[in-house]
Amino acid sequence: MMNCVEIQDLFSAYLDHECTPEENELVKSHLENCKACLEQFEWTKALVEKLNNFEEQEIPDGFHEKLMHKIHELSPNKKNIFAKFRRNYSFVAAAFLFCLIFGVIGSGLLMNFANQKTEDKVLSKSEATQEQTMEAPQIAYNTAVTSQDSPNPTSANKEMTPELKMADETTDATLDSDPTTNADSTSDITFDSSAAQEPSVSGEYEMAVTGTEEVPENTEADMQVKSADIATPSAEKNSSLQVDSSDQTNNNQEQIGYSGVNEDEGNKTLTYLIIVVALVILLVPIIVFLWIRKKH
Amino acid sequence: MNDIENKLIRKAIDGDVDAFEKIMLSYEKKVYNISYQMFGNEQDAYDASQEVFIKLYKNIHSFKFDSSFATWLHRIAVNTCIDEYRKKKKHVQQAAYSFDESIENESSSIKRQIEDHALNPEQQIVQDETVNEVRYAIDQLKEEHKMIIILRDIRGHSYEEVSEILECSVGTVKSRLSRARSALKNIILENREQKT
Repeated sequence: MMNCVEIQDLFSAYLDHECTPEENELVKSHLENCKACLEQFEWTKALVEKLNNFEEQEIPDGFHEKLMHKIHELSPNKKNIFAKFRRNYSFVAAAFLFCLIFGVIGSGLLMNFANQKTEDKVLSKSEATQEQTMEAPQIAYNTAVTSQDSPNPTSANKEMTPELKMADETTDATLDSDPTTNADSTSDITFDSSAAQEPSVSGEYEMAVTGTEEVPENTEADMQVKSADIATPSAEKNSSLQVDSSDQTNNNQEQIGYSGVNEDEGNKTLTYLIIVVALVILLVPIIVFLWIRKKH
Repeated sequence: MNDIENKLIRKAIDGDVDAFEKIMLSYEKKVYNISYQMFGNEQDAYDASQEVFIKLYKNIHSFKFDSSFATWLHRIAVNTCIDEYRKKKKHVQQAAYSFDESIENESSSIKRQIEDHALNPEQQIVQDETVNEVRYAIDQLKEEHKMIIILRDIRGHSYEEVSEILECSVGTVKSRLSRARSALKNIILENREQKT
């Protein structure tokens, strides 16, 4: 059984309903039996009620304004922010500014360069077109030679020189005869073959013509062999001609390609370069900024 | 509410004064009232409350978001008010001492008037005699009792909130509050006895 002092110590918690159920029961039963303690309890209850009913004070006029003024005036954080920024982000700021300035200048220069290139390209393209139109007949000629030579090596000769055509016709006519009859033909063959190795097509043809012009004096067999032999070197010659002409075509194509396609590729590369540079300019400060921020 | 508040706190930590002002607006009255009950007069309450918010502004970056911001701010308010109250009390005691000296020396009537004004709190003007009596008694309590009465009985915080603000256990709050109420009652009774 608790005495009055111990019970009065529980009044505060009892009022706030913060007692354990056992304490609660003890206080309740004690108050029912002890008038003095009940009086004390009522006294404490009244006091707490008075305290609970204390009016809330209104903030004095100008309190908020004065405080905000103090905060703005003192502005230690304002300075701190600037100092903090200067301390932590000065490098980023410098890098960003650098990249911005040089990025602008650099991209401007690159764009100018690109434009110049484009102009050059346009010019060279027109030049190339002119060259192409000038070279076109030659190419056509070469192509014609090549294409017509491939099925029949001598056909070009036929078309090119009427004399040779005639000689070839003779050759065709006597193609069936024995090739190993005359040894004299060897010299002619040698001559012809050497003539066939001449770089100039027309000269070669002339040689061939001269060669064939000399032929009628020889025997028919000679003719046969010779013309048969002519056919072989002429085939070689034609093949070489074919190579030449194809080489020429290739050269032309390469030239055209250089002036056209390659320049296009160059400009594309330049554009890619500009994009990459721009991206790097943009991304580097962002990455650095994020990295520093993460670090902090 | 907490999310919005946390966003504002983060902004304030980053130096956003407008965000800080918004936080401040929702706590100004609470802080001022704790301060007012602690000092019992408008001027001291005014100064102490301003000090609380300046401290908050300077230290908001140390809020860790792992507890309630309201509790954290109340803790700053309570500690600031207790510190300021002690400083004031010390000053008042020194002034009272010099007041006695002044009488002894009979040299400064002006000084006596000034010190007299500092010694007389505003509650003397309050019309309600009972409230005046209680307020006067509160002023005679020691700081820790005064603060727990303010937080629990005047401001109406729960035992748990009080324990968090004062960084002690609920059991401590229970026993300290009980002692504080008893002490207040005794002071009032003593004051009545002195009057008669």
